[in-house]
Amino acid sequence: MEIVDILFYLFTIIIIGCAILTVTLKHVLHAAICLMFTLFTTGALFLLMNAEFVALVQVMVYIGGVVIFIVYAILLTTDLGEKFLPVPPAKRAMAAVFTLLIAGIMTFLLSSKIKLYSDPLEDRVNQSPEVTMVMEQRDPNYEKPEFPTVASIGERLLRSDTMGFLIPFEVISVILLAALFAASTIARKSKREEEAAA
Amino acid sequence: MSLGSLIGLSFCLFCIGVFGLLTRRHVIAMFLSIELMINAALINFVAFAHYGVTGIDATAGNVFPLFIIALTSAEMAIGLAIIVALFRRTQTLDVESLTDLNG
Repeated sequence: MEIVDILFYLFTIIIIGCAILTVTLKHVLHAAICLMFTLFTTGALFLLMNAEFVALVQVMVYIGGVVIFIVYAILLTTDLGEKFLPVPPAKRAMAAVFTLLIAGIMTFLLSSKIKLYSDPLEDRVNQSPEVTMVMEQRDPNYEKPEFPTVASIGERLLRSDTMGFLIPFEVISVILLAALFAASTIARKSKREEEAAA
Repeated sequence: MSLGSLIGLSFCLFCIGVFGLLTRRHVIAMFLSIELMINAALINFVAFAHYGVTGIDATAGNVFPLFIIALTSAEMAIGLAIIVALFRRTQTLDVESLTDLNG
């Protein structure tokens, strides 16, 4: 057993365990902390899969941004001594049945493909031949990267031809700006509430 | 570590997320479950980029998770803003009592 496999099983145990804690812990703040551990370990798993930039973004945006934001929202909206919302066992059982139904359907759909997925694919090419050709035309000393690096991802994000992602990249920046304005507008106190508070 | 085991991991994570979404009564806790499900999808994207069929483009497979993460953060920002505004109006975040739109 290689070190990669040992790490993979370790990460799997941490991810699944923290995910179960996230959905079962009574206190929402504790659940958010468990979610943070899940996301962090997933970032480590991305590093095992040679996806260094995705791992970085996962830690920076998810843990540094989204989870902190969720924690702020929890602290803004709930008292720490709040009474917990009990879930009736019947509802819990119904949810378990529904989840098992989905799991069964997905297992059924995946089972026909499982041989394809468990084959080791040692001889894989990480870059389409067209990209390699274009890059070799531009730079004679170009060497095809072993895995997607920050440089190759940045190159792809800003290409304007059919292989690039320039238009989605620009659209997503507009969406983020719109979300920023929308969030601050929605969360702002309305004039009526301010007068009521004064 | 193979593609099959990674798919199995993301499958388990997704099912845990579905279970949490169905059982939770607190709105923010439901958000946490949605995060888990999105995370499962991200694992799938990166796994297929890494263990892809011969000739597949791993860089493009790594760009998609970036877009998903960006969209998720936008969604979370608006969702949590709505939750804060909702709490200010109704003083509760229990989905059982938020029945204003029940028709």
